[in-house]
Amino acid sequence: MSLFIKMAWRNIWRSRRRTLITASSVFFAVILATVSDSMTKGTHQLMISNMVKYSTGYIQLQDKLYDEEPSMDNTLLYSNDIRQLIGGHSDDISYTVPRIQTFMLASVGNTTRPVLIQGIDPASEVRLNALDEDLVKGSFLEGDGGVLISEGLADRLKLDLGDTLVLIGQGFQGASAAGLFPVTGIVHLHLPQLNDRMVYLKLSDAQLLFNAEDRLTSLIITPKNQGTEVELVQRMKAGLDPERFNLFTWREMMPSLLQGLEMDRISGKMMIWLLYLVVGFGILGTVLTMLLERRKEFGILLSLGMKRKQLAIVAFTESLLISFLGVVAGIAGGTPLILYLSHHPFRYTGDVAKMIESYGMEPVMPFLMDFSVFASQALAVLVIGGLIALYPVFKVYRINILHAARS
Amino acid sequence: MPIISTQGLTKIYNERIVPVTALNNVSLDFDAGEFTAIIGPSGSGKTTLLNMLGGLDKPTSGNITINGLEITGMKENRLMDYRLRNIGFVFQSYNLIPVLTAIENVSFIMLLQKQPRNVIEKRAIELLEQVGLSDRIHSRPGELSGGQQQRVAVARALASKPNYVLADEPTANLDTKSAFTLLDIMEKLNHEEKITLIFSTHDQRVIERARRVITLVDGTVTTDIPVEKQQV
Repeated sequence: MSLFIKMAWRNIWRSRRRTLITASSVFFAVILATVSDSMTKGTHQLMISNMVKYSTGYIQLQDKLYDEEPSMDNTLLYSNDIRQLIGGHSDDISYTVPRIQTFMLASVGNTTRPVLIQGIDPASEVRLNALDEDLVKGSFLEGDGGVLISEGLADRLKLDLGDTLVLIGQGFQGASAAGLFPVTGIVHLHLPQLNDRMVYLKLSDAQLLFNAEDRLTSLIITPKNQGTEVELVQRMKAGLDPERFNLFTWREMMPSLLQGLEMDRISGKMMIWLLYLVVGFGILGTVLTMLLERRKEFGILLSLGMKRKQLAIVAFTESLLISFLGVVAGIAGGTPLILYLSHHPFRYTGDVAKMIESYGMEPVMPFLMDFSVFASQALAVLVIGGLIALYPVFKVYRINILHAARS
Repeated sequence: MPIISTQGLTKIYNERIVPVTALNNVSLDFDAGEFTAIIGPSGSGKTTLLNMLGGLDKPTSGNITINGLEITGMKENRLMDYRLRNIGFVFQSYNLIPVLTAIENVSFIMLLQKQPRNVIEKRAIELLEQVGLSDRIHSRPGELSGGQQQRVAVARALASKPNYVLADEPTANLDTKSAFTLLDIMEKLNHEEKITLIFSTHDQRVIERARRVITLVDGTVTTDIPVEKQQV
């Protein structure tokens, strides 16, 4: 076998320039594909991560009616039953994050805007999303009675620390909810659609505002092991009254986002496969030329007593080696590039940044440094190379020894 | 008992369109250790006969028996194996494997035969010494002259210790000096190792060395003359 591999290796260098050109086409395709895949996966991961951190959490427990009609009247009573349910799965649950949220009107001077009010427990909230690290100004809900507002909202309402914000809305069971709240902190949120409208209160202040003592719109549950959400939800559902409660995983709570990401992933894959198709034809061209040039040599080798199977191994190996070289070089070149980009994501500025933000996305192009990015591209190219390398095998089994040796 | 025997060997090309008879009812016997030259004008059927004897082509009718074994009806895989172990080939245009060195080219057949590595190396070096190329064992074909390449081809043909060697116009592309050197080597191996040599040739230098000369004209044997030779 070593003789055949040696022959295959030397054969590919018989036409050095042709091999280098073909391997280079594979090299550039692999670089382009890995960078593109890394960017797509990085962007998707960031979007999902932001949504999970700031919005849905990994698992949410809600009142049964809240999903159909998300109003304050359909909030969840954070009762002992629920506390016992959580305690019963303490081996699987890392921590919980209670939230009460609704839309209200926020007014400053003559300006009024709809805002999303979220009552949070600061200590557990930061475990989920490290919100305190995004603080731009002031403090992170340290005292009672103050609000933390998002940076975009502060800009729009021209608010600063110490300014007073008027909140008007509806509380539990038709009670009116209104109050004056001093701004004690400003935070930058990475989801633009939240950054423009978010107001945080302490959970107890929010419950008081809404006249909803011990009530939550959702209880976020974080599993100890990520990726076990579905199994955990299945187990917890066994101890819940399905007529009163709903348990959702993050996937169930953002179906439209996931659909959009899936569409994006498929269109990205199509572009990559189009690229591979072009590269595949390049490899095929090289293999066809090689077969044409070496027809006589194949005939001679077979007439000397080499078996077709042995010759097929040589022909297959050398055809595959060209793709393999390109893949190895592509991964060697792509790894430092993606490593750098994953630590220094490209950040958009100016009009482009505004345009991206208008789509509700963070104006940043993150890259994912992950084994799967390289493995999937390497596998794809090697499968294409392998399929193309089957053609010389087919030809070797079909070759007429005498005609080939005379050619 | 002859080592090779052909009975009524006939080969017709393009049977259904314009039939061309390359060989017509050729019956020949070759004894072990013979040095035979097959001569004749172009298109007389010399190469076709050699291809048949090498199991590279199948006759339209007739049969070939080698060491009592009929090869005309053999399946391809068995025939390939038979060729590998019993027949050495020397081609007009050398046909060495360009990516292998001289010693690798000579070792190639023995590697296919799965002989032990130490045996392969020893025999390859011996053979290259015998053909006068002990100083060029690591040269690739492109670094050797035509005569040197043909000597490597001879060493390769003999590497598997074949029963017989078929040589298709082996001196056609060689200058006089190289041709004589090659013939000296082959004659010596024929004499010392009793290897049967069957040449197809136009070359008078080969004919003069052969101990039997068969003339083919239009696919038919017209003369088959043993030649009185001096011992080498």
